[in-house]
Amino acid sequence: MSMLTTIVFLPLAAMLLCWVAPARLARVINVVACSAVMVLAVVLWIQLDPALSGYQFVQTASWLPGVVSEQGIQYYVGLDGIGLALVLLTAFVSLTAAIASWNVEKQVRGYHMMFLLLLTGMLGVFVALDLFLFYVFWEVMLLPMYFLIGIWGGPRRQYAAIKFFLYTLFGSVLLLAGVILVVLKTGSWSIPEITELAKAAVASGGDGGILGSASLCLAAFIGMFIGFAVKIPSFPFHTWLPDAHVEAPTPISMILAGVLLKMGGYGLIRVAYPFFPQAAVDCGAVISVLSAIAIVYGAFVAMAQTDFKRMIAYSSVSHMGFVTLGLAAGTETAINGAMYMMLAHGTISAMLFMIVGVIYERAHHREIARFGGLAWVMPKYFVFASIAFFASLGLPGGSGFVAEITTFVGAFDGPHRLWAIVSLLGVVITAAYYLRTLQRVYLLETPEVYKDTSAYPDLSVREWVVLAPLALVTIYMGILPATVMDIYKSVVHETLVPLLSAAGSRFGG
Amino acid sequence: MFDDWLLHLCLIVLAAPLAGFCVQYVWGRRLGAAGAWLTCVTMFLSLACSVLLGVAALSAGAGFDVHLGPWSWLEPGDGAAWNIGIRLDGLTVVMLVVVTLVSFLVHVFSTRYMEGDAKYPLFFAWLQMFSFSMLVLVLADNLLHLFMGWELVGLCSYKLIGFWSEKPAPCLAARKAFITTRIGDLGMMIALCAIGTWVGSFEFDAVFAAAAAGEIPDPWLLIAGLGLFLAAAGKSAQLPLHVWLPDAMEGPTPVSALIHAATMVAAGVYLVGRCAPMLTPDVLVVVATVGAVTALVAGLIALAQNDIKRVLAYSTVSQLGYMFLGLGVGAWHAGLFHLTTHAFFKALMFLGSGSVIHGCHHEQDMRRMGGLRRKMPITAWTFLIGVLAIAGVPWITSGFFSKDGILSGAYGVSPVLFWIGLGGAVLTAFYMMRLYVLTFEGEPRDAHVHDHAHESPRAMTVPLLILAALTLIIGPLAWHEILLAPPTSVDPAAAWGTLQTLAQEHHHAGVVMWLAIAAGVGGLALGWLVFHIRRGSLEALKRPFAGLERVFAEKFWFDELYAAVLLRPADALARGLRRVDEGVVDGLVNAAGRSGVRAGEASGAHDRRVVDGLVRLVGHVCQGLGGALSALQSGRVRLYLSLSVGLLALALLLEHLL
Repeated sequence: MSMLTTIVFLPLAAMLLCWVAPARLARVINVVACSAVMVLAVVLWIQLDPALSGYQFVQTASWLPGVVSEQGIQYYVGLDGIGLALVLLTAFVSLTAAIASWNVEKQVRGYHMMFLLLLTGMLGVFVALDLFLFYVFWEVMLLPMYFLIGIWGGPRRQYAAIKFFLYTLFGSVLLLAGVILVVLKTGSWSIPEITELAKAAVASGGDGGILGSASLCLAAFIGMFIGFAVKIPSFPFHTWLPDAHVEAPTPISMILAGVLLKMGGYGLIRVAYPFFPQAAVDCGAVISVLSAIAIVYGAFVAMAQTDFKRMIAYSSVSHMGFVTLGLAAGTETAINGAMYMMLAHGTISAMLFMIVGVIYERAHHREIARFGGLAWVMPKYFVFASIAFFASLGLPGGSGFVAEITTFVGAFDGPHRLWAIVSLLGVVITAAYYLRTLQRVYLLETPEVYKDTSAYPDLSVREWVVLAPLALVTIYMGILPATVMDIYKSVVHETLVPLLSAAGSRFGG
Repeated sequence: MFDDWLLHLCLIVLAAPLAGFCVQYVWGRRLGAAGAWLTCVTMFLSLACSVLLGVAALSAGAGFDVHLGPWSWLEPGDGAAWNIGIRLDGLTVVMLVVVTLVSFLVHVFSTRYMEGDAKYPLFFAWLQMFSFSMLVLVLADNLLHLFMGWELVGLCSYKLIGFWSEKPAPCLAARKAFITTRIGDLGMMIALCAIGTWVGSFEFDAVFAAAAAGEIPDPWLLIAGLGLFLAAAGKSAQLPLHVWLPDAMEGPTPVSALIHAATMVAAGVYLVGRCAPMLTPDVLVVVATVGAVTALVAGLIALAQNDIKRVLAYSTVSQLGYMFLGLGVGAWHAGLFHLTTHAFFKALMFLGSGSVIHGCHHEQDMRRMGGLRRKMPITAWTFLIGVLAIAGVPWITSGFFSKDGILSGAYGVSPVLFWIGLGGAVLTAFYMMRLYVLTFEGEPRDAHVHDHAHESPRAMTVPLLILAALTLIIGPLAWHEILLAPPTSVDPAAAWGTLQTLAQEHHHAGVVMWLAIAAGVGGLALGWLVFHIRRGSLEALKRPFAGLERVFAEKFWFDELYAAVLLRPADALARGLRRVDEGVVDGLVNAAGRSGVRAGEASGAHDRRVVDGLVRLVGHVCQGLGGALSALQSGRVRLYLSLSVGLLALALLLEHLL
């Protein structure tokens, strides 16, 4: 069995183990399984040759031969730098989230089973190279997430879970329609094969793309883009996110922001952009505008929030705007920046949601205005909150800075310069709402209620173990970014950039 | 070999305060006073190595310009190389010595000044972090590397202004400082984008060469230059971004001395000085004009302030304006030399004010002081030296040399700027004399404050004495060209064009010098006359100017203006967009959901639960879509669409089971 199959199905095996094992062992099994996944991910990191842009650790097996093509649907997995970077992120965020789940008390067994199933789905998406397999994993993620929000969530969990489910399903339908169109027209289920076809189509100079018709390509791209944009979530498809986050339990919010939102960006990078480079370039202006709106509008709406967690959720909308901004620009630097933003946002937002969770657990509310002076009661907690806030607002030394500056410079270099400049405004607004929240929650006088140190103890061991690694990785990625960017750089350089630049130069020089 | 030595020295310069930060941050509480002295030691180490670097620069003579590195930091694509690297030339070395020296003295001063504060160890930790960040900024050989130090000093400034953040005022001031400078930083980011796009490397020499060769197309070279100046104006508190600096006085006084007078706020001047070769003549005109106007306006505001630290803060804004005036008119050397001299005499005066505040038990209002010279003679006499220096008393004070250079530079380029600058010089001397007289001379106006006033302990007065001595002796160094070598190996004349030649022709023009002397001495004499000798008739003297005084006291209503046109509209916009988001964007989503429920109910399902209704809607949509698509090609679509519906059903089943 190949490494990839092992890493993907190990959580599933652990889930089955959870089922039969005593419920009190569930959390242990979860943490052990996530640790094993983390170890395997690191092994993959060591073994993957970064100089090769192609897929490594490839494994294929016949699954449903004869569907559409002779080869049909395959079990086809493989990993390149982009996949590896996201597998590492998934493993890391899941491990911290599993530790954060240590004190879940409601229906423990079911919770950890769903958690592990979710992990299989997420890892599967990042390694699947067959479109059918990709879609199956994509949907597999949806299910446990629905339950994790709907059962273990807050007071309005039903509403949030259904909204999340239907909204993302709406996206999935569009994605599926696109997938089917592609498969029927190209006669292949294989992502690498279709990418090669797209390359050939661009090189041939015709404008029919892989579907033989420019307008069909455009329609398919728009459909897929919306499908992935719901997941990112891009403006104006973002409103499920604040509801889902507010209701989701803390560890699930961490996974939702840290990994699930990256599915959308990954889908664009792996499927939508390489399949339809021409359409992607043609839509660049629109996507840039939407991204700039997401960044600035998201920041403004975050500023007006009164709920701590909702504010963080909108900051995600704002920051994920950088991902689409970078992709729309299409320059190598911008795409590398967009990808870096996915990784940086993954760890920083996981940390931010943990920080909200820590205080929610003690205070049982999240009203920013009702807090105050927590820094003096919980100084260690304040240190981590400061690190997360300043990293998120893009201070050098944190990973957010690298992502932002790279995306900005790259997007400025691209064809939609104006929107890169407009997006810069987000930097100031972001600083404004983070500093305001920092002040209202952590500084000034401590209200009497929070002075009770037995109700408001500083970080517990569990919280330490979650926050410290996240903070370390955030700072590491800010100081030594090359070591992280090297993981996926060659793939962007050799696959995505030639496609987009060929399409771009044909489009208008 | 020589380079290796330099590199090791630079690394010690950087590592010492960083190590100090780590130790103090983690173990500070346990170390107590010992920890504070430890940070003094690390700072002294840093200072010693900086001095050694200075000696190396002096012994190497003119043309000293060493590049260490570059080390690769990130290669983001498109062949660009973003490096970090160290550049040592005259300018760097001067900045290194200034920063480490003032920082060291402030550390020593603070060991007593901050005594008894609950967060004593944390204060030194952040002083160390600031010193480290500032040194990163100064040593950088490229703009991106510089920008990282630039933002980190902003963080330290935020932390230290808001050091007493259990109170609202320091909190607000810290936030204002961070946000205002960040608005300026937008300019820097645009400059970085432009340079990243057309040069691909941020290294100063490469950027200057590309700018000179016209590789940065019109109008982006101009925009990049203006962007850099915008960033500098934010950091160095120039109009219209000056509003944060006076509020920053909410921080502890040693912080005001180190960060908000001597070093960080001068970083903007340093940036413009460093990047001078890429600034177009248009940018230089903007720099000079903004600098001159700021010098004047801040001076006017300072006239009407009563808080001892606020007067000093506005005087800092005004003096930074002078530095920009110097850089803008091509008196590059004088502008940066003024940065150096100002760092010493303003640190001296700020620490002096700290000594006064400490001696008067945290009284900062000058109207309640008076006659303190007899109580605290060392503070008074050293402060007087600072006042004389900032007024530019000829030959014995360093301020004279630098200010004269700036004014003669301005004289050569623009008479208007020169007269504005000269007017500012009169004002400076006048209000600084007012400050000195109100604080130290005359009769005590508040018996309580006076009775309890005392001279500060030696850890505080010795730094004052050292700074006073430096203020007196470094003036003649103005002629030592090596200390402020040209900013670049690229020929500056090419970028400076006619401005440079004009300035050189008129350098040391006799008439300018005498006018400058008259302005400084005249302002001092007038201040002495009005506030000391004829104090009784002060009210009568002020009466005709009551309206103006109100304008100055209210600081030209900048804060009110910004609140009205920026802050409140931004808040309103945020709230409005939130309503749009909840009402319109999400409203549409919910409306779609609701109509789906109704459609589900209408379809005749017996189970009227919302979930099921919605599920049916999805089913219908899927089938409709599937039908449409299958018309295109084949019937298989339904298979996969039913699959997702099937999954949904499974989901509901599971929900029941769980």
